[in-house]
Amino acid sequence: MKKMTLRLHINGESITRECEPALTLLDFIRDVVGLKGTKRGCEIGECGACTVIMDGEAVNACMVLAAQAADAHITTIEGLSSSGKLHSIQQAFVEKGAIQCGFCTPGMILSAKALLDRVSSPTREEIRRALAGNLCRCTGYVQIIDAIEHAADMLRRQDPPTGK
Amino acid sequence: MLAEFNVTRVKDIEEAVALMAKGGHKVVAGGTDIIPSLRNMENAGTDLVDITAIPGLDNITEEKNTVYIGPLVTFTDILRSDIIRKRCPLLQKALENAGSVQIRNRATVGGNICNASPAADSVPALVALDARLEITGPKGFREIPVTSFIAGPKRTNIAEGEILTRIIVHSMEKTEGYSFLKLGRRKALAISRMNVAVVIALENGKIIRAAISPGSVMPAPCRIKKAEDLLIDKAVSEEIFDAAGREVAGLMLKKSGRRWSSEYKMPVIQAMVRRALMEAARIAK
Repeated sequence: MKKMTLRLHINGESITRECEPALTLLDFIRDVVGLKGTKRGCEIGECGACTVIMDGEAVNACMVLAAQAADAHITTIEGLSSSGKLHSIQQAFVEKGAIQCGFCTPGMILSAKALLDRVSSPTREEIRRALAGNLCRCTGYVQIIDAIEHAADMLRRQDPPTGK
Repeated sequence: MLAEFNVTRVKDIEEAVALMAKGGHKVVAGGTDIIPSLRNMENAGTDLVDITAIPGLDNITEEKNTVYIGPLVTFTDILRSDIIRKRCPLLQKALENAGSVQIRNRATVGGNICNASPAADSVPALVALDARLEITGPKGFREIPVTSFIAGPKRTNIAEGEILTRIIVHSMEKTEGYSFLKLGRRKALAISRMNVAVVIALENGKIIRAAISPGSVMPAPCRIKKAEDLLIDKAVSEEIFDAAGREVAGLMLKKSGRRWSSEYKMPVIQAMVRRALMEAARIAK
């Protein structure tokens, strides 16, 4: 199979790699670039463990072909902390006991970020809806929702929204 | 990893049509149906034509009383669209609980139609709105009703080399009531077990127009005219809506045959049709 050259932006960095065409974005992120924070769960779009943010929207990386991500801006979980300091959402998950085995956590945090990037004061119902595509087998979800409410609060205090 | 295949990211419709006309290729847009299917023996190794880089296929526009939806419009685009909210809100209702946020951000209306799952959530709404499809192929383009396009479960009347290029929907009247009910095993990430889209128009308290379109009920998506006719010139009542539901259930048995699921599906579709019509009647002015 003829290799393809793919260029995209991951966590603000421009990345160009040669690879097989028959790859999903998930394969590319984990196996070609070597970022293991994005998890392989069901690989059919039903668990959300592979959630990344692509051009501002949460997507299942297992259902995007790497070729379709050409020139896209991708945020993975590795892109949230900066200079060793946790992002507010990560901090909130830690503080609220929203992490048990940790497998769903990267996907959960990125779905939360995608929500909070658009809605600064989500209701619990809006949080549940935004996370409906992320499954957790450990926590029972309550602490996760608490963490996202707490993160929304922290983010609002750091960067008060203007207008409504 | 998936079995080896080639992906050609085409830059315009002509390139897509030329490749599709050669045969042996499948289209990939949002990928939410086809990529999981590549893990099956049946589809493994199929070469793909990626149409997501073709400009101009992801627009929602309106002109006079008609709304034009590009095939690459995602479910999220539909849910965020002011044009859809004002002119065909039934379509928003149909898609709001499909999949998950991640799926809705990628899944396209065109893909939902062309995949032609009997459980598709956009299809009953489009059928209830008498939507038409513009199909472009090597010989030019043709326009057909969505009901003529979907022939049966996962089967469409698309010819080799053709791709869906536009979905055409009449604006709903502001006085029309509508409803979409979805029955799934859970509240999200659920394939519809059955669904139903309805539209009702009232005048002086009488029903002057009704559209009833169920999903996962008939061999191919369609409006149930016999049930709709029961409602014309009648006043709104739970009894008449229940009669319409009974008609849909009976027709399901007749056209789809008795199956292991019939004993469950018959009373349930009857109730779903009744409830959807009640909700639509509440909204109608």
